[in-house]
Amino acid sequence: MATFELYRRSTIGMCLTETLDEMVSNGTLSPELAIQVLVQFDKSMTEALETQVKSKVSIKGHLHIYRFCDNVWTFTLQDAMFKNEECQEFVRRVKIVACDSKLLTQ
Amino acid sequence: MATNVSAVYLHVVDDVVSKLREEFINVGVGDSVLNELQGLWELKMMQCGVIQGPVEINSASRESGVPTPVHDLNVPYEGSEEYETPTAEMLFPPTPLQTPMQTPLPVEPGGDQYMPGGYAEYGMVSERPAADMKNGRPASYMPPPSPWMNQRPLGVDVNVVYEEAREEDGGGGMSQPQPAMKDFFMMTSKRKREDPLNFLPNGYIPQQDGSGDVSLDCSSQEMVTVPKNSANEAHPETLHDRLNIQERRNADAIIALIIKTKQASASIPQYDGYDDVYNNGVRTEDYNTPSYHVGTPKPTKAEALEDEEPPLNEDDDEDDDELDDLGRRDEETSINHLVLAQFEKVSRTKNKWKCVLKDGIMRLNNKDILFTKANGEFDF
Repeated sequence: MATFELYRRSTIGMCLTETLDEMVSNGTLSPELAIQVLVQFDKSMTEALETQVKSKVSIKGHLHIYRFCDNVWTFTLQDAMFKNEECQEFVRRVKIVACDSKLLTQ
Repeated sequence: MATNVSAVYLHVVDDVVSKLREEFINVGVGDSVLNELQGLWELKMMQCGVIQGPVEINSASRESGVPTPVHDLNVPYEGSEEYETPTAEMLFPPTPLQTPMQTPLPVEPGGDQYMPGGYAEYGMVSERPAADMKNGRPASYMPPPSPWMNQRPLGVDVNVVYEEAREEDGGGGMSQPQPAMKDFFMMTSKRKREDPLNFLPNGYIPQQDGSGDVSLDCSSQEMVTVPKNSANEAHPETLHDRLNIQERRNADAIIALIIKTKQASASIPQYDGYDDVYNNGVRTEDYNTPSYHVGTPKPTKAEALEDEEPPLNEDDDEDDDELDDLGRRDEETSINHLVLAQFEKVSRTKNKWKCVLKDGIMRLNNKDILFTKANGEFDF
């Protein structure tokens, strides 16, 4: 089953990657096992976002750069406002990376 | 909301660990490695500030380590003996008192390699020339320059012994081709096998240096004046002699024509740079003033407009790349904000973009925000 590897670039994903790198470097873990851990993380993360998260967000901003390649949209926004039910965040520059949701359901 | 995010993350960690426990045991790595993995993972997330909990505090206290030593700045620094500030005595040690006199000692072959301890460098220097003289000076030997280096390389048969009849000194092998050609036939090392005078009576000279260059049929009809300065021409007394002389003249004319055509073709156009100017065999080239312009074409914006080509806009992504290079893990102020999600729909109307995203993780202003659905409206 294919998984989206893009969640590995999140905070939790980067923490896991660094931990695995350390353990593979000092020989505690084999590289093959580390890859299995990452794949399982992809699945668990996707499932958790689907089931355990309920919030919705609206995004408004100036589109500076857009790119669509290999079924991945990459947007670079400037002066963007993110609004949530609980709070809102304003950022000068943000990058949005989005994979095609239909690929997982195929 | 932060607790929700933390709870979600912890749930993910537990889910991953529980689903891999069986695999770890099957491989034979054991449970301890899995626990170590979980502990390190949670510790790092706690350091990033994305999760909280009693479990992390315990692991933090366990993994905190030795605090770094703090120097008391109120006390003047006293370095150890190893790091004393260098003094003049340390930097410039006193010169040795021993300065032996220069004594001209006889040098034996190979004796300069071994020096007794009492001699300073002065003795070695004075004895070195003597050693060189004994062992010879291979570096100073230079073969005398060849006499042919001053002559032009093209159109000259180096095997020809030039007669005194030529007027200029040194080079200029082709200034007087006619007497040279006479000599060519008379004395040449390449044609030792063939008697130059014993050519065929019909004037045909067999060519031994390759395929036929110039057709003799067309050139034989041209009348080239041949100066009568050869000592080989005998005074014609008989008709046979006259025919022989005429044949020789025709042959000479043909050969002169061949040489002229070869001279014309010998001027090989040069494509590899400046015109080589040889001065006494040394190629002189002035790099400051090129003989002709060889610069590479420099495209300008005006040219691009003239060619109706859109500019490449190569610098548009510079800022974006710089931000990526700065990294995403800056804990003080996250310089690079990031949203990772899946897109359901992306559409555009003129410069209005609309997108529908789902199941995303956002890292904004050093905070993690999760969403199940997001609507975006951007203007380009």
